[in-house]
Parts: sequence; C-alpha cells; structure tokens
Amino acid sequence: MHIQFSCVGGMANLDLNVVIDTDELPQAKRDQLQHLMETADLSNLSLGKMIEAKAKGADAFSYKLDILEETEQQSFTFTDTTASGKVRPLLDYLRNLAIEVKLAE
Amino acid sequence: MHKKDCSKSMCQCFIVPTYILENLAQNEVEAARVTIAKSRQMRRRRIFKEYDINGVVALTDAGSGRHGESARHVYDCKGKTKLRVNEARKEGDRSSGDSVVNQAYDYSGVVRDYFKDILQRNSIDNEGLDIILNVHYGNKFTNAYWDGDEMVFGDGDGIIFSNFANSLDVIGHELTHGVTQFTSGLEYEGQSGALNEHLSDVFGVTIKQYHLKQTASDADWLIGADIMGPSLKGQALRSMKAPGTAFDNKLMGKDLQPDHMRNYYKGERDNHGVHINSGIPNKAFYLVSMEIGTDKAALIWFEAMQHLFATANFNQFVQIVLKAAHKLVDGGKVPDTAIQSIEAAFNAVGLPESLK
Repeated sequence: MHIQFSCVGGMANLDLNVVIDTDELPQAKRDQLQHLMETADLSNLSLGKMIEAKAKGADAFSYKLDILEETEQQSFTFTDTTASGKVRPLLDYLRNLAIEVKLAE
Repeated sequence: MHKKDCSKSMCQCFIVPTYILENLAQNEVEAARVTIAKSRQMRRRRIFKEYDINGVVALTDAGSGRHGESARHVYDCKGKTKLRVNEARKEGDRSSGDSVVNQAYDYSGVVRDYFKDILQRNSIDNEGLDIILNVHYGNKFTNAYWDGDEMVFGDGDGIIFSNFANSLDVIGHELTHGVTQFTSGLEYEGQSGALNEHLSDVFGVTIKQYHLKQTASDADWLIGADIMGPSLKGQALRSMKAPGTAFDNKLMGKDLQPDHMRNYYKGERDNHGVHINSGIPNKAFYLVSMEIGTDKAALIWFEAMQHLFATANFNQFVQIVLKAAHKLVDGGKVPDTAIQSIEAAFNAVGLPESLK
C-alpha cells in the first residue's frame, strides 16, 4: 500500500509531506499504522463531513491523504476542525512522521 | 418570488445580491454589514447541525462554573484529541499543578481583561461568552487553532516548537479569531483571510506590549517567539516589523511574508496566502504604531474591525481604517496626526492598490 500525506497551514503555516510504502516499514511501525487506519475507518467516512473543510475557525491544519492499494485509489481531505475523533490519531501519526522525514533530509 | 430548486449542495441564494450588501456595508449601513456576517454564520451552522448534533448540544454547556461572565475553562486533553473532556482549571480555581494549564489560564485572563478594560468588549462575543482553552492536545501537535467555538493548543514537537500555550501573543492571536468571527466574520481565504490573520497578529502583539508595559520602539514585534524550540531561539512565526525575516530553518523553510504589495503572494497555498500576505497590513500597523503609539493604533484598528465585513479586501480595509481614525480623531481619542500616519504607512506597503 502506498500512502501520500500532506499537512499544510496552521498558525506556523507549515508544509509537510511524506510518501510511505507500507511494505518498506519495519513490522512494528507497519502494525501501528495498520491499527490506526483500521480505527480511522476511512472507507465509511461520509462525504458530508469532508465538504465542511473551510467552514469554521482559523489556523487549523489542512490534511490530504491519498491511499493507493493495488489498483484502487482513495483520496481524503480534512482539517483539524473537520476530522473525526477516529481519524485524528492517524493524522497525528502521519504528521509526526512527515516532520521526522523533513528534519532528516 | 419564484425559486428554482438548487442542484448544488453548497448553493447560496439571497434576495439581495452580495455585491450590493458589500456596497451598503462599505457605506456604513450597519444592517447590511450584520446581514453579511450573520447569513454566512447561519449557513454554516445549518451544515454543522446536519452531521453533528452532539457537538451542537455540547456547545450549550461548557462544564461546571459560572456562565456568561467570560469565565475561563482550561481543559487538559492529556495528549489525546478529544476536546473539553478533563477540566483542569476553571474561573476562580487555585493554580493547577500543571504550568501549561496555568499559563493558558493566566494569559487568556490578560487577553480577556485587555478587551474589556481597554476596548470595552465583553469577551469574544461582547456578551460575556465563556473562554474555553484545550491544552496538551494530540501527540506532539505543532499548532494552535480556533475551531469556531474554542481554542486548542498543542505541546509542540520539543525540537522546532515548544508548547503553543506558553505564549501571550499566541493566545491573544487565537482569541482574537473568535472576536473577528463575532464581528465581521472575515472569510478565511485570500485577502479577507489575510486581514483575519492580520487582526489576530495585531491584538496578539498589542496585548503583549500592554502586558509588558513596552512602547512600540521597545517591543520586538514578533509573533510566536516564545513557542520556538530550544534550537531556534531568536526566531518566531512572524515579524510585524520586518515581514519575511522571522524564521529560516529546516522544518519551516524560509519566511515568505511580503512587506509590500509588489511581492504579494498569488499562489493557492495557505488558503491563498492568509498567513503570508498578512505581512503587508502587519507592516503598516507597525509603521503607524511607531508614529502614534501601539495603544492608539490598536484603538483605531479595533474601531475599524467592527465596521469590516466578511469579504473585505485590502483596499476596502484601508478605507475603513481611515474612517475609523477620523471618528476617533473627532472624538479626541487619538491625535489628529493619526490620519497622515495611516496614509503614509499604507502607502509605504503599496496600499491602496490602484485598480487596473
């Protein structure tokens, strides 16, 4: 599975990106990511929640998540204010991974 | 009036076209200005209610304690992402054992009291709305935001950023987003969004200077200097004095803020540059403050803030600030040199921009 993740904006106006091939992750990290994705339950997200992206607040991060599995691709967009409680731990994990990658460059 | 069914889910239908409302609002027709802000809020609430009735119900009760008295409620998210779960300190409580909780409580009190004592505004909505702050949000969350109802602060990653609640100007910035929501409702996109960010920076920095008893020339004019991690001391999120010079590091890159319209950011990023192009009016506010004092400049900006409308652009903002200044000069609240200082400051950053 390929995951392309971006986290932009926020009060510090960050621009974070990471591309992950889950097959290349160490087993423990792969298991953790798998668990977070199952908890996020992305396949059951309603469209109504995602189109609300700019409706409220200020300084929220904007997230984009593209998942490519075999031939099927799914894309999701969230902000800190629109992401559901189930998705937020996954966004936390991917954002911290993107920071780790950027600082290591 | 016959009305056709709308096929688009986000369709916005009004009897009076938005451009007419904007023209009326610019001419200080208060009802038109309020209509623009309230109608947008109403649409948003309706969308919100469709999918999260629990959230709406929760908004009616911020927990125990006094209500409608701009009471502070600080919640500890304990590294999780659920808001308003563990109340760590509410208005009148003794200090908590957690320094971040105490900083959020103390600094939000400074901001609330500044708005009340200096600007005669009773909390975020001018009706004594309780002030809700969520700290220790998420895992190494590198952000602070206003979610439309309350404030949220992360602990930072400990390398680039420390805790976002440990900064008076950051808390002032976020709370001012709430004030903007309840006054003009400036849309968070393009120039109106940059003005939204600008006003938050203005009151963040003004309240910090007021609290530290600094003059415009003493102050550093930095936003977020206190949240930079140990390796980035001396850097900040923004500089109002010298936009474009606040940071240069591996995570954030180089500060892109322009200090003049000729370098206006035209890209799509950051909701079309809301945190980028705010550097232009930020610089103008700094220049005015250097001439007449930050306290007087802030009075003018606050007066202007109450006459803005949701889609105001930079040129319209200049006109509204000048009108606000004339009113305060006439009332003897700011020196009559303010008008000239404002015109010169906006000219120095390329405003108003001539329309081709």
